[in-house]
Amino acid sequence: MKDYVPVIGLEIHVELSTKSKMFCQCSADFFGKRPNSLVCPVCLGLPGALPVPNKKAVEWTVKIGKALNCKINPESKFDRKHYFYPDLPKGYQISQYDEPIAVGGFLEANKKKFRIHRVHLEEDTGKLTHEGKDSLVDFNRSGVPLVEIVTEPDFTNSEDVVAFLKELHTIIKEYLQVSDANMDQGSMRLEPNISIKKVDDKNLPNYKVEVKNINSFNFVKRAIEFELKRQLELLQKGETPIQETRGFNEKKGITVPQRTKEGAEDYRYFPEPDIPPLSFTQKYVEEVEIPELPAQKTKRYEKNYNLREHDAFILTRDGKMATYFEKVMEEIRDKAKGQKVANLIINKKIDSTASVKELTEKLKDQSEGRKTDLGSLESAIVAVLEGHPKEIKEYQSGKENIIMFFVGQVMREMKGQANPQVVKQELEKKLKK
Amino acid sequence: MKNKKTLANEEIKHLAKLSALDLTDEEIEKYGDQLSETLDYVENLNELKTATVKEAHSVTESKDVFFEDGAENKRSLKEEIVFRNSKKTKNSQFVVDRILKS
Amino acid sequence: MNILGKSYVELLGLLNSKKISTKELHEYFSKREKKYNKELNVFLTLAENPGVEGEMPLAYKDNYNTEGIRTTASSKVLDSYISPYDATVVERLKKSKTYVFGKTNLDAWAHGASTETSDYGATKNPWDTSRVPGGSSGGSAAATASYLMPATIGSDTGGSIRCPASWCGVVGLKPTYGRVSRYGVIAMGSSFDCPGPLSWHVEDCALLLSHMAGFDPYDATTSSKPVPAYMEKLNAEKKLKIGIAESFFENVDKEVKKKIEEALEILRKMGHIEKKIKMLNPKHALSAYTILQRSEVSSNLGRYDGIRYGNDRSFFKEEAKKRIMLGTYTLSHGYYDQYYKKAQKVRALIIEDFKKAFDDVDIIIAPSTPSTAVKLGEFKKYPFFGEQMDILNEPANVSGIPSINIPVGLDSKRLPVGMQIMGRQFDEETILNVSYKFQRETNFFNMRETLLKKYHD
Repeated sequence: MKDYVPVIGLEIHVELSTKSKMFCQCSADFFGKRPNSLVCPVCLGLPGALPVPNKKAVEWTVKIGKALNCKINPESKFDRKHYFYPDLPKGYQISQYDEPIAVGGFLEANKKKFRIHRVHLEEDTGKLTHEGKDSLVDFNRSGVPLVEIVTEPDFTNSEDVVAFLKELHTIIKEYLQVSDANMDQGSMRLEPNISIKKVDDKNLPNYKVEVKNINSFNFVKRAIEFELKRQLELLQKGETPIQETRGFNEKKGITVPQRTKEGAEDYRYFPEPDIPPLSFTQKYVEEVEIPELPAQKTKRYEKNYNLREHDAFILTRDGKMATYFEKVMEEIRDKAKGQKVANLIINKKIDSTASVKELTEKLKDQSEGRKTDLGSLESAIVAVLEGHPKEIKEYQSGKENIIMFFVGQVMREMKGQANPQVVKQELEKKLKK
Repeated sequence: MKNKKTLANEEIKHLAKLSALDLTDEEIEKYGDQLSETLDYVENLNELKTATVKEAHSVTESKDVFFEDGAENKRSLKEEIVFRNSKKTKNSQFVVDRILKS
Repeated sequence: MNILGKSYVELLGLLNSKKISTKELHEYFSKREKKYNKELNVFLTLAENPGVEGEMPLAYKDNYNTEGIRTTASSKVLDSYISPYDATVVERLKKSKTYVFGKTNLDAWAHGASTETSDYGATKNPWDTSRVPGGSSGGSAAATASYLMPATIGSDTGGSIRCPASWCGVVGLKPTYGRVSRYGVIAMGSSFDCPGPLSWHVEDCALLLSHMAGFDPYDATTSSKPVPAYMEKLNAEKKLKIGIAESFFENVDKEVKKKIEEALEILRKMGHIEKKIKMLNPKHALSAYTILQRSEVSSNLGRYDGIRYGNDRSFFKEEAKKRIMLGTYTLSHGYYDQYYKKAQKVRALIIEDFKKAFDDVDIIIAPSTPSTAVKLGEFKKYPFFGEQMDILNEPANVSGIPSINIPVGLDSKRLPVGMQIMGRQFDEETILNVSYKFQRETNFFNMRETLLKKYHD
């Protein structure tokens, strides 16, 4: 891969967890409901039906845009995107084409900045399933609000992609709370566009491969890795990979070609005549509240509570955890205890339902000496002693400070869950036998 | 001499495909001529200068029309009504006989 | 009780004072339907049940969703489609004490100006059954003219109320776009479609409009401007400035021009003043309309795939297929700028053109159609002819302003001549007022009496 560098861009779809659908009052909470039980003339695409946009869905899209440091366009509109498919009841999807709600932002992950090209709002399609010779359609999902986030092709490796997705997931699910963002259930979907260029090439590659059907964070890495390997092999042979859409086969861990469409799809976009345009004044945009985001919070915890970056990061992944941490710290009023409190919470020694009193008790245990599980300590000591006969001989022949070596080994074995004083005592007992 | 802008048969075939319509050869020929005539007529739009004109997406000046999330749904359709006009259904779902691209 | 020829308002009064019953009215119009529908082919579907006592019968163009009643848009694609819901207009009129008597014939999908593209046969013009009634609301216009209904509901996208109203000699109102909800009306041209009433008497249109109009939360393009009390304003004293644009009188039949001039003379005597104004040639509106409408049509007919309802797309006939394909073309990659975008820009110019004109005058008068009703089969000779007949109607559709057709006499073939009165956006009040006064002044030249003799009980 020396001469080449991957060029990866992401297209992410997020289903908003609004109560109503995007253009009608049907419930948007469709998962697991009886097929075609959450439909009306609008989302079923009946003759004469008309769309009216959901105010909250628009607001939440602005929130997402702001959280991603985008510019919110002062004027925006919906457009019709045309194609025929059984799960698309109107024969067009109401989406956004040239005037999306948000443009030009960025999100940091793995200490790198990745640019956001645009964020726009559209409606989801129904669900098509196959049963033998039949294709069956359920329109419960038809019309659910969907936010599409498109990044610039700034990614060069799968680790960054996963880190970015996880950061985005945390923001959307935990912080903005606008979606369940569940990759399993499809409320967050990812389609990476993957290509490879020569290191010294200033232009973007002349092809790109879109990969669909990646249903978990785990599979993201595998799909990208496989695809990069496949493309590199072709390029090294002097071939250019075909521009196509491929599907990820999770059982085999490979991408496979999906039936190619003849020619590029012509969506014949035009402005949606049934919906007046949207306008976003500066005042409106300023007033859309977004909470402190995970990146800021992490930095603040490191600074204010002297937390290790790693621990601050973990705490901020979970909104409830972070809130609890801050609540505790406020009551304790001792910033020095920050790391200790963090440890307790992170290692699940205490959870967010515990009262501050309980937590303070646990803290005392820690400073006076950690509670040691004598059973496991016994096994750990035996294991360590069995593994180091040489060092035992040295101790017994007078090198008494070797005890600290043993303490260290046992502490490691116990994963730090032991009081070093108690460990030393027990070791001395055994060694002096 | 009228400069006829003809839509070639290939073009009509392509349009029919994009529109999910099946046409006979006869129709392809006939429509090509008729649609070309229509396109000829609308050329008169080029008599008007519009370089600095902003498109009118609508005749109204409305903006920002919404409904409140969670508003009562008065249009929910009962199951019998949902399927009343469809030809084939199975397990509360609409059936498509043709096998389409996956 | 002699019902023949009574206005909707009159019948409603009799109904309210219990001098007549809904049962009687239903029986009366059912009898007339049996007598004349075979010849005229006005109704596609009759409702099974008469209304509740106290309700007026009303017929709707068959592109209105009427719950529990078959709705076809005159296309075999929807041959057995039973509406699952009422259009907002139907719901509002039902609340105003009406019931659905039946559904009237139209050009399939409202594509046409003659009702000949209906998959259920053409409607005949009551004045001369060898001729077309105009379209696309031909069924509604013919039903009104021949008094198979006291009034009817139609829709005007590119002249589809005014053209048949003109050729059938009745009053037809195209309201301002956004004045009346389109929810439940099978979409043709989304940025053009205007539901509206047809009747013999202007006050009937005023009353029906007052029940139909107003903001609808189910249609985001409806206006929240308050609805004036149209009935009350009918008799108000107004002295208006009438704009006459030469470009609206080009290529117009001599006899049509003559009748319009006679009508203008009457208006002058009534105290209104004429002013010559300069306006863009309607041919530009026709071109812009043709492109934009077909683009919207190609999109709006995309939902008919036969999966959830109706028959599949092989049931579309010639006119629908042609319009869909042309619309697909004008929206397609590579042609969008040249056609769709250009048409949108010209639309902006036309909107501006009317705004400027109405700074100067209060109403603009022109013929509704360049000729009177043509013979059946005539339109087939010209692929574009149908639309060219609507050339004088398109400017109002493109700019969204209201326009009403009123009958102004008969030509030498004893065919009705129609005159349209265009007004400012949301100024239906003024055009209804001048039409009402004109009717009081002329009784529309006894045209109604003439036709009622032909279509006696």
